[in-house]
Amino acid sequence: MKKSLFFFSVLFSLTWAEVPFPVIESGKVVLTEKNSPYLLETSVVFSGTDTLIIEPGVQVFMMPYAKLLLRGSVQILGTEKKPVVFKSLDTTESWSGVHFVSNTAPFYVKNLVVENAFRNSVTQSGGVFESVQFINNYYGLWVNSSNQVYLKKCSFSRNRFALSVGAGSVNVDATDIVGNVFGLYVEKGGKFLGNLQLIKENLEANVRKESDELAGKGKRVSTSVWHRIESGF
Amino acid sequence: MKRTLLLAAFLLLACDQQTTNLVFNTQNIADQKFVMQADMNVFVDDSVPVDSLESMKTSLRLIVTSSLLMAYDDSSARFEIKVDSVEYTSDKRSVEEYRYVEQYLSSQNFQFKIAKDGLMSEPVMDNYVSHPESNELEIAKLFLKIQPVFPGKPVRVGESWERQHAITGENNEQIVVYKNFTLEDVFNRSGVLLAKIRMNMRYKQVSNNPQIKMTSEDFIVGSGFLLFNVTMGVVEESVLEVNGKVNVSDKYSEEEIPKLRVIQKLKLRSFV
Repeated sequence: MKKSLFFFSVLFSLTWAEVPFPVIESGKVVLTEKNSPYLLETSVVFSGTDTLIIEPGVQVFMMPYAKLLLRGSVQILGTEKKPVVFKSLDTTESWSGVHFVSNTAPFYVKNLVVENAFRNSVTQSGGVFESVQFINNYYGLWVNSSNQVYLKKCSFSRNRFALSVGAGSVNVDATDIVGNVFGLYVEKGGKFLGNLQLIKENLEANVRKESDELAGKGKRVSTSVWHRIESGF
Repeated sequence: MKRTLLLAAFLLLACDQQTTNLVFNTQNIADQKFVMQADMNVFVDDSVPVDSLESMKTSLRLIVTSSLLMAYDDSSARFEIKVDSVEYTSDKRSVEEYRYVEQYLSSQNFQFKIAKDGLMSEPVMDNYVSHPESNELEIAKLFLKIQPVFPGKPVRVGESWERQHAITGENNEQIVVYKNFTLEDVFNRSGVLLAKIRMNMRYKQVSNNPQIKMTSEDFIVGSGFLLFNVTMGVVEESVLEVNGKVNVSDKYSEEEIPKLRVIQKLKLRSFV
């Protein structure tokens, strides 16, 4: 009895063992459902010439502060029944987040669930998020210095700051921002192009505009400019 | 009496002529711990009443361990800086963001090559994936800024020298930093020969990024001093205050950003 229990537990652990996130070879990584789940232990950067393709049903578990930095071509192709999932291995710890930084090729992300990240971001890039769920992140999605980003049928829930729009604009269609602490935050210089009626039932505020907050205090310099100087000086 | 006066004059002359060879120990040095304090104060550079001044204050305290990885035949060496602890605060971030910044900075161990005159090159992060577009801080930049570069020949008290080195910016632009040094004093403390050196620096902030730019019209200037342990070939203490005016612009933003004055105070101290 003991032997068969031991055998069963070994078999179970082998079946569910995470595969290390693959090394980028020949400029391309394809994550398949067959090899899923994957584990990203530290951080990985895809350069401008690298390609990431993720098939439906893939799960990627993230160790604390793991970061996925995507500068090249990205196709995350989940389906409604088999979404792609990025989440922390230990749900009590957050991971850094997924970051899209590609001004060479637009990204395409469909049916992805992103959970427990500190911040997911798009900077200086364009692309489409379709049916993407941002759940329980500190910053659900921060879009900055971009004006070709489209959110279609996405949802934001249980994030601290659901959607933040920095300089540039975001085109949003049929996207729910419900049940977060703060819904939409439009930084000075940012534009939200979409239906504000779908931003509702957020704990502290549905919509905040930095320019209004600054004007109310007689101030002119946005938070992103302060941060920019701090990092660049 | 005459003899004593003559002897005193001779000794004075001898000391005056004495030279000091300022050289980093790149061959056989044990691990060293440093504490780095970096405080930044930024404010809108126009004349408004002090009580309505727009500003940002940040404070970063690091404890790091410097280890010699490889000593080369040409007297240069490769060192590694490992981050032992980080404390960070900013009046422009939340407490959750402090913790996040502390976490990612604590994983920014880096290596660099150093010549015996102190010229640093090839800084590379060990495992850290840098993401400058999201305004992440980088500690290697602080060490490059405060690092002294010696003349490569013995110098007398009162003698000055100028060296320049390049710092790679966030978009791989090369920022040339001009540093001017004066050996102010050489003295013995508990059997250790210390050199007090004044340090001045200047550079122009440049940016190759077509989308977001941070530049300076005039030179950004800095001044401070360092105590160099001549016996051991290591920096004991270094203080530098950098001051400049910067312009920030974003291609996608219509907002006009006023010029901002930045004052950065860096302190590096060796201990243990």
